[in-house]
Amino acid sequence: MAAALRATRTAAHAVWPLPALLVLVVASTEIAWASGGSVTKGVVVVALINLILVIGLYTFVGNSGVFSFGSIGFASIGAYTAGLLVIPVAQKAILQPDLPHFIANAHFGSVAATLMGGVVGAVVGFAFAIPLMRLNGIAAGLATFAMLVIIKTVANSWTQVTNGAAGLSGLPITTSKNAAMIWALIAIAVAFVFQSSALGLRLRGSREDDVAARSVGVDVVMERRVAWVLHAFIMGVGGALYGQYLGSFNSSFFYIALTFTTLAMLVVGGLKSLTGAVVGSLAISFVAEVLHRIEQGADFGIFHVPARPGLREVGLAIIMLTILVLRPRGLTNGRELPWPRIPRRRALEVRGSTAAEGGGAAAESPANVPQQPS
Amino acid sequence: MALFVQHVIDATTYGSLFALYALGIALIFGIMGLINFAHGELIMVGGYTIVLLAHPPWPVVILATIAVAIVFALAMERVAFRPLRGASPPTLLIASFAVSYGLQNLAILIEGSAAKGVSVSTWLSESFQIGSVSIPKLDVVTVAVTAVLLVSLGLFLQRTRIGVQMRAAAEDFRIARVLGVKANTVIATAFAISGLLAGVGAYFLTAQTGEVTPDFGSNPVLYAFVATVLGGMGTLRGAVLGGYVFGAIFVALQAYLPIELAPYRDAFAYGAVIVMLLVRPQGLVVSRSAVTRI
Repeated sequence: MAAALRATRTAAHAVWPLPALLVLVVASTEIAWASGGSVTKGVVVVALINLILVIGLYTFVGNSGVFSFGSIGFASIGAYTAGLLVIPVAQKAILQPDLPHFIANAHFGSVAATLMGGVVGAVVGFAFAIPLMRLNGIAAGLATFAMLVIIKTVANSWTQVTNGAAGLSGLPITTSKNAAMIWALIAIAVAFVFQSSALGLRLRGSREDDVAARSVGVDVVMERRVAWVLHAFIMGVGGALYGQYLGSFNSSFFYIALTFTTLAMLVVGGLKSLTGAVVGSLAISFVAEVLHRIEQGADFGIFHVPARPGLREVGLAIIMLTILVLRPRGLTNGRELPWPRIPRRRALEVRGSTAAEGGGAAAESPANVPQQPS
Repeated sequence: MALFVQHVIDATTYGSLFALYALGIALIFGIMGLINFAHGELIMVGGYTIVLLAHPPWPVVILATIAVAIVFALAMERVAFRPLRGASPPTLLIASFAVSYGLQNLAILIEGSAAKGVSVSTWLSESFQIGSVSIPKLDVVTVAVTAVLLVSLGLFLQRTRIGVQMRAAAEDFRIARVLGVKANTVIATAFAISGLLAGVGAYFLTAQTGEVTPDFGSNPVLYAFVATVLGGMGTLRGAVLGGYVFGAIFVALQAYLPIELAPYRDAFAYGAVIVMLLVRPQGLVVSRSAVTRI
């Protein structure tokens, strides 16, 4: 009986971060949505899409410990794929007459197109995973960055399909707040299940000690490839949603600036935990919006703050550097959301009273009180 | 034949510029394991100095450009990288990413995002004419100045006390410190030299493009990455060799790539980076400290 209870409690502790994070995301979305005017509504959708991208990035970087500077490339691929599938056929015939037939005549619904964005992202991710996952540390960072430049160059130059530097336009705008939120919740659930799976745990083991993990039979390269393909899928979905929020975009949108924003969110939150990815993403979205308001200039009665383009980005860079220096493992220190504890003194009283009721070992010393597992 | 000679001249000029950029990055990577993404912003800052000082005689402009780049290099070391010393290379790379992004947007904040035109020197934009080959004076000066800088840097590292200390630190930072090498001095000197190289690079780049933008330094630094990876991370000889090899590849791709593939030039260059990292991660020139230790 006691064993069963303990097992249930352990399971509850293990699963607890997931519902907590889902509630956190829904609550902050609804509060931000309800409290702002029409300007804020767009910000909320962008924040949710960025959250999906950060979770995608976390799925690989957080679990494997290998940095990727190229993941936004998969978001680009997702956006182009979904874009080409949702733009009405008649419109494509006018804007991009050279499209291959099977794309020119294809028309998908928003959800199916978004999933296709993820699938194509994952397929390209798989192709890159074969060689790239053998690299470690700084070489992996450089190679993934090279991958970003390659994807961007192709997206910018493959005029027949991507419409070159002009990019795609005329996408139906279907990424609403609810759509973005549901996708974000699914992404969080997928990331949580993955990191709790046997494969995810083996990968996290290799993150802590590569050599030791290999010595107990973890095929690090293989596990990284699986995580990489899954992360490419999530990035592809995020990119597809971005495209269907923006309505028109080109290859430059999915490049260094977005890479920096998503990396900053992950690093600020703490890249070793899903909680870190979510908290960092929400926190930076909030701060970025505040800075954006200041950047645009405002009237505070007697004070007039003039518009200052670039202020938000400078602020983000300073925040990121400060976090790197002062709290290198991020706001969450690389931990998941802790199980809410009962404060120590109250816990003692409760225990004392039950012991007294039992009439037995009432003389239990405080030192024997079991610590709450953290 | 004339066309081929022209290509060789172009390759040497590009090679010199890439070597100049790559050296600034390799110098710091060798000593503290930092790939300084913000090196491009030193070039950008140098470019803006030239824009703001359009009128004084050229020696003043050059000295001011170099001085400003050095000041920014030292400041970025002190403010951003010194507190992070000893962090893992990817963490340092992210930090330099943040510095780069911050400085670029600071330039937008102060100078706006529109390009600022500037004419550096009418003399430099003329050409020597030899038979059917025309050689821009800027190319000759770029190649000559780079050569002088490379030789002086070599002498500095071989002959001076601090130069020897820098080489020792690049080989094994911990042991060098045990033997009395002052970490702060060595690293600050490395940043100052990288600032100097960036200032010179900024002058040539501005003379070539005739305008400066906030992302002025992005392309040079991206090309410098390719050159350092080709040559071998952390060795100065490798960075220089990588610069010239990449210059040759760059011009060859531009000249001989079929017209329909020409827009993909950068994709091929970065594809070469990935192949190099996989096949020969130690680069063309192997640094003695590059052996992986467990």
